[in-house]
Amino acid sequence: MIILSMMVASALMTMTLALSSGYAEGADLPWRQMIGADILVYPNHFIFGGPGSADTSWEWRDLSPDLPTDATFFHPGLAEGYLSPVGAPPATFDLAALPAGLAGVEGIAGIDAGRLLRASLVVETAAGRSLVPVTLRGRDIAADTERFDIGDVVISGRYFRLSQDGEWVALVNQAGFGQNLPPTGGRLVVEVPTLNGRTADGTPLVDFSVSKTFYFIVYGQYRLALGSVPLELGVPLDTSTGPGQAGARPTWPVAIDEPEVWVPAGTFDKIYEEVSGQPFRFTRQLKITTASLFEAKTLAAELAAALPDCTVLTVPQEVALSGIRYRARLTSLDPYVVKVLRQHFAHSTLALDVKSQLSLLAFAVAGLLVVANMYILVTQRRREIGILKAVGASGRDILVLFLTETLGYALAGSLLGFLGVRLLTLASLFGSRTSLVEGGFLTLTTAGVVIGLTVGTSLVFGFLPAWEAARTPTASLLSD
Amino acid sequence: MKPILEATSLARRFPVGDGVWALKRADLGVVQGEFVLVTGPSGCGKTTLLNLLGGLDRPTRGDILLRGTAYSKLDESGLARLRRRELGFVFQFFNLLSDLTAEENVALPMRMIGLPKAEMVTRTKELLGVVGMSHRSNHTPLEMSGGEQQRIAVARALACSPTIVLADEPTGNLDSRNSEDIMELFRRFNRENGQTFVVVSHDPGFSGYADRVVRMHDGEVAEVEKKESSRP
Repeated sequence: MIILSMMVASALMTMTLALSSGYAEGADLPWRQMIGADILVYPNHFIFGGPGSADTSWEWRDLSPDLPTDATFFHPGLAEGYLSPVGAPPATFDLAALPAGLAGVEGIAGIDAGRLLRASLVVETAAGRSLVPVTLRGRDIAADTERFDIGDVVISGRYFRLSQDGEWVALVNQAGFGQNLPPTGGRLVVEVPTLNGRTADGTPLVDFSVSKTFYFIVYGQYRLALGSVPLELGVPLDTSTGPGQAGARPTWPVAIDEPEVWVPAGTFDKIYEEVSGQPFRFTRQLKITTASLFEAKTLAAELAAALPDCTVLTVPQEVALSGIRYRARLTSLDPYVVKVLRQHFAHSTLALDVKSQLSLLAFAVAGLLVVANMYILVTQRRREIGILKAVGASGRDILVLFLTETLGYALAGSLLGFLGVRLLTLASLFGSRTSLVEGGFLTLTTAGVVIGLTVGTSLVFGFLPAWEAARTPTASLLSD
Repeated sequence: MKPILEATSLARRFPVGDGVWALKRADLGVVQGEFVLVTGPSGCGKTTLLNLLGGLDRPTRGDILLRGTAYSKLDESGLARLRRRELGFVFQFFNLLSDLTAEENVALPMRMIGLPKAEMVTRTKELLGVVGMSHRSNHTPLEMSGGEQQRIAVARALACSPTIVLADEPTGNLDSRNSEDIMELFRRFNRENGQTFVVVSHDPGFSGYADRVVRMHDGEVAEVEKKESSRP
């Protein structure tokens, strides 16, 4: 009975962990977030606020009606104005040159192949070698130079020259690495997992067990503005000089903080060929740029109708599906300090909210089940404990006996419960984009959590009643 | 003869309500090979006295010496060691472990003291034979009658050749025939092996088995009757 209830508790835990990790849907969250869709349709114009620093002076600005932007669609609060470094000009994407053959298509302003690979940055410290997951992104140098005001984007070092396409040079996202940020001029070591063919729908199969190592010179650090988020005021704002207008809600520009490494497109293509054994021909992700968000939505709908096998998303849809939210909080005025927090909501906002609540509930129920079982188990056996003490068992013997039994029950129950549910969800693993190695890692992690928690809870809550019984005078135990 | 078990001014108060003195004062000495019957009406403190003598409970006042070792000087582990090595218990409700067979129940105290397996098996068989339960060795308590269970409990109490066997109402849950059988068993071990017994019973009819009868009343030893003639 006790093993059965441990099984139920562990099965519940395994199930809820699978739900909350997206495992049951065969999901591989980072990969899906990165790829997102087969075709992404970008509206062309975005507003950029400057990155700022501790020394920056800030001013509150109204959104210029002359500035062609769709940013208010992403951040409606922007219509009320935004916080900007003093003197920083608002910047927008320029229209990209249309690729040959697509120039005549109405609504399309530019098109890119998404050169993306999952990789790991090798970080050597005194404590040893560790791997930081990164996205390796191939950049079209000519297109970037035309589209971006590179001087604003590259905040340290310099951007690639056209002649460097194919060379082992890289730029890193200043906002994406925290303390592991590679310095400009330093050496960058990146491990890229190999690609072992593709699934029937063309998705690359990533093999994390075999990686290849590449070395780069860090040419610089870049920072890409993502947009602005409402600024929560942790300190009272000085409305006479600062951005506070009565009733207005200030916003804060945030930068994309993915740990990303940019390499020239030609270099990326070499890496791709090295890890996949094939030349880079296409990727399922295409970025199509349009002049406005409204065009983007229309175009996305048309593409989705014309290409039923492809997932077509606009960027706002992509952002919503990625489940990433940014929150900016003003924590000090002098010096001016704003903390930007990144919140991760997995992939599906509504479904995740419901699931996370259910998961927590089921987890709590499972925990209570273990606790109740242990209490009942020991309480029911008080007389047996009394008999054992009468024939010479000490309190310590009783504790050891019960904790050993508890350990056995908890291990057997949690293992059976875990395996029962996990074997069912293995089907979804095989049907997913998750590699076997990563699936194995996920399985081991879940096993560790489920078995560890069940055993730990059982031992803790088995110990208390057993300890109490062990300390109770034998005569009382026998008279129960 | 010097007593092997000696209780002095023993008293036990339970913290119920304003406090209840279940045992007000008891002085008792038991010599080697003696068969002592403690008798008296219900609630007179017999079981409390026996629990204290067996180290199953701690006295509020007074002390007990077993072969010169004072219980008050022993911690819980020391008392557990004492019960393991020196004492055997027989209870009214048998108190066998229901998941274990008769054989395993008898062997339990021997496992506690770490007796070698071969020796344990031999001794278990011997004891089951002595109490007439060899044919039930692989049965669990639920498959046995009350009388049979009590015989197994007696064999368990004797397993480690204790200095004293303490029996609390060993016949309280048995019919008269089984009660006589159990008392006969005690007397046989007492006479043939010199095993010391302290038996608590509310039935004064068993006084014929004892060398000495201790009559209790209202938490105190009221009378001690020595019965020299009962020994053959």
